[in-house]
Amino acid sequence: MPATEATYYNVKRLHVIFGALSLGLLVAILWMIAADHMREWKRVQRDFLVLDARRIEAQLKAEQDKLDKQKLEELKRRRQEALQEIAQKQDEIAKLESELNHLEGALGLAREKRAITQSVRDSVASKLEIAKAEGRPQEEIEELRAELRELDRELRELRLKEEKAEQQVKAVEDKLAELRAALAEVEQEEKALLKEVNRLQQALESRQWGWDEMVRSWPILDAFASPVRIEQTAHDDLPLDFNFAPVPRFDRCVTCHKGIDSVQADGSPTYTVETIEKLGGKQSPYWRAFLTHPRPDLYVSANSPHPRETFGCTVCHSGQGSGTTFTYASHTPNSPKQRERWERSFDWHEVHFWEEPMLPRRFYESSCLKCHVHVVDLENHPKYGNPAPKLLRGYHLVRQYGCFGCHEINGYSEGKRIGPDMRLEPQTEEERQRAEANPNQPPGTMRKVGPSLRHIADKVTPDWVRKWIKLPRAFRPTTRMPQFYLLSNNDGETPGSEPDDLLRSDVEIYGITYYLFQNSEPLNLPDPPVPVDPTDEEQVARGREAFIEKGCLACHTHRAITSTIPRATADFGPDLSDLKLKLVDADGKPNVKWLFHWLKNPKKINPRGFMPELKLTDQEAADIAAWLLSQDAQWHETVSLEREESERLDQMIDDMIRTSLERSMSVVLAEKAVTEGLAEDELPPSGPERLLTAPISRHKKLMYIGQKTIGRLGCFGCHDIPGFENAKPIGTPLTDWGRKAFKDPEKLEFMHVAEFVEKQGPRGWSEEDHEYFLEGLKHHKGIAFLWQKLQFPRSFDYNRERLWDDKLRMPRFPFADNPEDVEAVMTFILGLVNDVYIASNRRALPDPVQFAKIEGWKAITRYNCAGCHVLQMPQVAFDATGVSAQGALSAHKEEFPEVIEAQRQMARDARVRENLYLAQALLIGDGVPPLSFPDPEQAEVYSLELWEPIKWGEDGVLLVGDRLVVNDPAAVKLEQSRPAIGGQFAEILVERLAEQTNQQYAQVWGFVPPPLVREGFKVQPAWLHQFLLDPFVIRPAARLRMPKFHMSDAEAAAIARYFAIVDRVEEPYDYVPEREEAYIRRREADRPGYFLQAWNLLTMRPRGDQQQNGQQARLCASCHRIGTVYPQGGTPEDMGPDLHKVATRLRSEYLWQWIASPRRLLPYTGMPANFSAVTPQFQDVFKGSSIDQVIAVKDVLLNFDYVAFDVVGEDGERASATGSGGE
Amino acid sequence: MRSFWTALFAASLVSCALIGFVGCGGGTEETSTTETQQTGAPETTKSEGGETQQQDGQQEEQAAAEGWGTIKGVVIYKGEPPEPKVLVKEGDTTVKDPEVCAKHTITSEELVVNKENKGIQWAVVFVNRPAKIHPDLQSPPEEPAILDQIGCVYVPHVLAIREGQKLIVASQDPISHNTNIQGFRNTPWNRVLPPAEGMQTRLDGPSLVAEPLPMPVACNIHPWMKAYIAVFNHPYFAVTNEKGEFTIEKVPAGTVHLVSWQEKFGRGPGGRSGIAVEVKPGETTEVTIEFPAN
Repeated sequence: MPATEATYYNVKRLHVIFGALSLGLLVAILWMIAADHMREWKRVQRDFLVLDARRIEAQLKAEQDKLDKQKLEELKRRRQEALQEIAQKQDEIAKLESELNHLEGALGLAREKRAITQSVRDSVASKLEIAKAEGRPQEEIEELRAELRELDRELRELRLKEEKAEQQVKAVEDKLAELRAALAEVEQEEKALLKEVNRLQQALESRQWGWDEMVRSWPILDAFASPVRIEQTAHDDLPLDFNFAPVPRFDRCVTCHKGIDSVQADGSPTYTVETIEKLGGKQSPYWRAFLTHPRPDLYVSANSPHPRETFGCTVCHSGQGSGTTFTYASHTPNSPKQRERWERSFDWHEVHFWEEPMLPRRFYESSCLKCHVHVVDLENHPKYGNPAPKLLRGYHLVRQYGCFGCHEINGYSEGKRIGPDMRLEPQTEEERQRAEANPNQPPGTMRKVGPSLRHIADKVTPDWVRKWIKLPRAFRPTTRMPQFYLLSNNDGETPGSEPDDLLRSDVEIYGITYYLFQNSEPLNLPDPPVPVDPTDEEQVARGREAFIEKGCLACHTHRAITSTIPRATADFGPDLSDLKLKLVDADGKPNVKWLFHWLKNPKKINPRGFMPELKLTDQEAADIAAWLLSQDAQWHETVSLEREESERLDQMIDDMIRTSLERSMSVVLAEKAVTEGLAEDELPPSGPERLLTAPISRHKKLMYIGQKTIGRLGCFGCHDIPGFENAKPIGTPLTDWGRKAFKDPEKLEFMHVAEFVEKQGPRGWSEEDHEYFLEGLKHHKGIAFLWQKLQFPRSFDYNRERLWDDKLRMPRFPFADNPEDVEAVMTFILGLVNDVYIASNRRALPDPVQFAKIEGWKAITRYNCAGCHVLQMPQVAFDATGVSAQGALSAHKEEFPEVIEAQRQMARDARVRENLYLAQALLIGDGVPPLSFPDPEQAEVYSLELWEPIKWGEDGVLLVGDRLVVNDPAAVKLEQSRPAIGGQFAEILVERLAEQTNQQYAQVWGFVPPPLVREGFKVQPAWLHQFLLDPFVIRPAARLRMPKFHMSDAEAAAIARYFAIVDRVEEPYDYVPEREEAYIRRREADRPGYFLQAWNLLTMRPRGDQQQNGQQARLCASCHRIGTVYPQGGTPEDMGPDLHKVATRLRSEYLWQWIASPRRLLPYTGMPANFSAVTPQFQDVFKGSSIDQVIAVKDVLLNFDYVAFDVVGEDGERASATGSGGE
Repeated sequence: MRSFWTALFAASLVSCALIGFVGCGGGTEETSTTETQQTGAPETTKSEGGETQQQDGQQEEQAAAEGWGTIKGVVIYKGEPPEPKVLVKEGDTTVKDPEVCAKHTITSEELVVNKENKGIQWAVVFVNRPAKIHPDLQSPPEEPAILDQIGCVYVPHVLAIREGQKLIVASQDPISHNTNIQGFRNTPWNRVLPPAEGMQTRLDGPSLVAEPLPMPVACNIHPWMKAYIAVFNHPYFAVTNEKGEFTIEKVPAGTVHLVSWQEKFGRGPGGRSGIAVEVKPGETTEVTIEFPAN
């Protein structure tokens, strides 16, 4: 084919196409560049720079305004003067400068010369050494030696010259400096004065763009060194879980949240809503992104325990850390209003493909669980208080309501701690052994939360049980027992429930009750040794007193008591108001037998219950039982069941058995089971069906229904039930529910629940919250599912056609009516994410000591120690300028300097801000209950009584027991104060005793459970351990006895360690130096007869008495029994603790302070100061200073056995004889 | 010989204090009078420590009047007085240190009512925030106040002192006592008093600042022992005698508010601020106060 000019394509057309495409491409590129230049985060950063510059500008202005104008003027003037002066002396200066120039040259030369000579000398020196080593001829060596000497001489001269030149230079320099001194001084002062201003100016310049930044931020150019840039932190140790593969986490959040870790000099946030508003920053739609993180002391800032660099943002907040737009960061709105605003302002929409969207604000605390797997380390933190109150509330609700009975909450994964561990303890011995043999996870520790039903027939009647099961709140409105019946899927009314469901419910209730009573194991309790008569008015009156005073109110409440003591609302144990209805024996009489024995020895009836043995006398137990069973009782709602002997019931029993059997066997067999019973070969190998043997009976049918229902509803999750020892929890495990809620919401069945909720309306919730969660339900959100499940667990059956056995069975818990509780439980559950990839060193995994503290605190919570004892006094915030410590400080003059010094060592810096202090203290006022914060309208606070030593002023110290007089009532900041931890019952008793005896609170406090403030510093852990397991009487005066809790050895040890750890004292405390043989010998050597004299001091009868009238006056023995030395007369209430037991109880460091100045450790104590710090006494018994006497008493108390047996002799007679006679 | 003189000295001090205390505030003391011009003392007086001490009660308008008057009155019990409770029976060996403490029967002094005129002993009556202080009474009495313990009983049962006045705690018993003072503003004080030679134990008490209410004093060794110490930052206070009578002299003329307190009943008529009493210059105003107040 000949070549032609013709082309295959029409070139012209191609040109057009190409041109058009190029144009299109250009537009696309420009568009791309423009889009890139206008990316959201760039605008945010620019807006922030403006705001930040404004802030610094404002600061700069303030700083400039603050400047001393006069001083500045003066400096300016002085500078002028100095310059003039210099100008005048210009000639002289020029001359000196040229001279200096010259001299410096000479000096340089001299230095150089010396350096050269020095190196020559060094080389000759080494040559000499080599020559010696090589054994060169003597002459050669001598020659070298001479040369070296010559060089050394030369060197010395050169050094002299150099030094002289240096001096000359310095002299000229000094002269010059003198001439310029005035200027230098002015410059120095200016620099000091303008330091802050200059710093701010520099900071401001770095934020205000110059032309170079402008250029660098231009489109295209901004790809290189743009002043705005994405900022990110990488976290390999906190990876993302991309479906079984850990992927490093990149957080770019600070690209926009630029002010997040900005704090002021005092640690407070730089950017708050107020400061941003003040700076006009709200013009930017993104202004909220500039806020500093709340509580920078705790989060994000570099000095906090969670610095941004280490933890990033999304490990706590979730969301897409790599996202750089508002939407793709996966922000999650907290309310419909917020959602609307976001949609409007930021074009926000939900990101469906990110499986970890940000947590809405209300559930922020959930994430703490990822690392704080022990949870309670977030409670009452000494430094940070309670940073996650909602989460803690949720945790305690889960703990108290026993969710883990049905839903496993497993804190271990392949031997690693991954979250809170709340598994049930092993129920049988085999199970325990199996669990203990498993190296990957220790046995569970949680006890079943409900009472044991193993001996139910000894306690209550079937009639009561049936009504109780049907509607627990009808008997006890505050019960924690959940409701299984009369709920939306079985009430016979709500769509989804048919009318027969009511009868079906009753059949089940009859079955359960029947099963429980048939299997009840008799206790064979004997009759109480003391009559219990609820109709005996005297006994009942005594019982009421005992009920109040013997500690019942520490855990329980009672209607008849709260009417007079409104504060007695403890809810650790059940409300005991209507016991009369419940505790009825088989004959319909008050069940005094059970109650008496329960009060005397609860462990015998329920070994895993929490009711302690109160050490009541038979009479006290009988009295309390009589009172409890005498009080009027009533059902709070009407509960009715089908009659037991009704035909309908029997028909329904058959019907239900038939329907249930038909699921696993043929229709014919099912019918046979109901009418005749089954033969052995027709029975399944296991299961309740095996009860249905021929000949069939009502008994067998009810047993079948009972066993099947208990298994279906999981009653054994909370109660010990015979026959269900090996049953497994029936609910969905919650271990990773928090993850599933976001990851797999499609696995959750929502059905018609939204319709149910719409019909229900908001109930206790705000309109906004209701709408928020309803929206969630409509969009099948896991969070909303949880919300509804906790409130109306059965509502997912709404309007569905389901067989009875298929219906949802989760009961409704009483907390469902309290929105705050529901959100708290949700917060906890959403935090259970089973994140296995977080590096162990990032988790808050405690070291062994912290772990012991956590275990101790858990045991303290478990046994409700805080019901009686104060664990921490109220922390009172006060303004130091409004109080006076004058009186307290002047009283220090009469105090032992050693005690002051010891407390100075313990003193804490309680200053929060400039004049604001936060310290453990009591508010002392007329009629102000000891632990309470008074209503400022009602009562005036006169002073603060300190309960911890604190640093005061420059280097002063305030001691325990000091009173700070309140001059200005506004100085006490109640809203910033923190209430006491524990001690509610102690306070009730103190108030009562004070009223009964017309005394002040401080005077009766010694009769109630003591506060455990500084308990670790006070007692030896080994003693406390023993005491907890087997408490005995310490103070005969106390109104009630420490009960015996059924705690394990490990728990007692944990509590004992806890107190030692929080007080930062040595533990274990095995070594007591005072008991060392060498110590004893040294004491005796320094002062012969030391221990005998010390013993005499302890047991003495101070002189003056014998000679005159032979009275038995004593010091310590006025109140204390000391081995065989007893106080004269008196009742137990007048006595202090027996001193021969002190040696094993108190720590040495505590003991001597206590002897020296008791109220410096326990301000209310009745124990007086026995030794005057100012004037020594008892010189005829023990010669020496008062502190020597104190130490001597301590020594003898810590060596009591040694002194009593080896020094004094067994009967102490020698002591008495010597003690009275003096020397 | 030495002990005799000590005893005599102590006894004279005790009696002085008792005399001084019965006529408390009566100006029997010949205190060094200051020559300074009366400028009308401020409503609150600065104490030694620089802090402002205030008596209870609301701000009140002080009638501006010249001169000084006397308030004389009686505190009486409304109704039939109950029999005082026996705290320790004579010869009871179950009480602590029976040989000393159960020598005589000890009855409660919580409410001591005179059979004849129903006057209540041991009530405290004081002027609430006096507008000014008489030149004779500017400084606190120099002689110390003494709280003694005789036969396991505090003597006196109620002691009223002035801020800055020295307090001495004494005991004449051959056994140990302790003195536990619990106030509102004062740092608590609790010291043991071992018997000294000749049973004349003396201990310097704490320096006390004014208290809104009398402070309870207790002995923890002998739990029935109770006393009260009232501390004022002005001289216008009194403790009623066995007939329930009291006298407060050299009170600034005008309307003053009189607050009363009794151990069993607490504050009397008028509560914290007290009842208004008209004091005329150079005259004596008679007052009757009834307990229990409504």
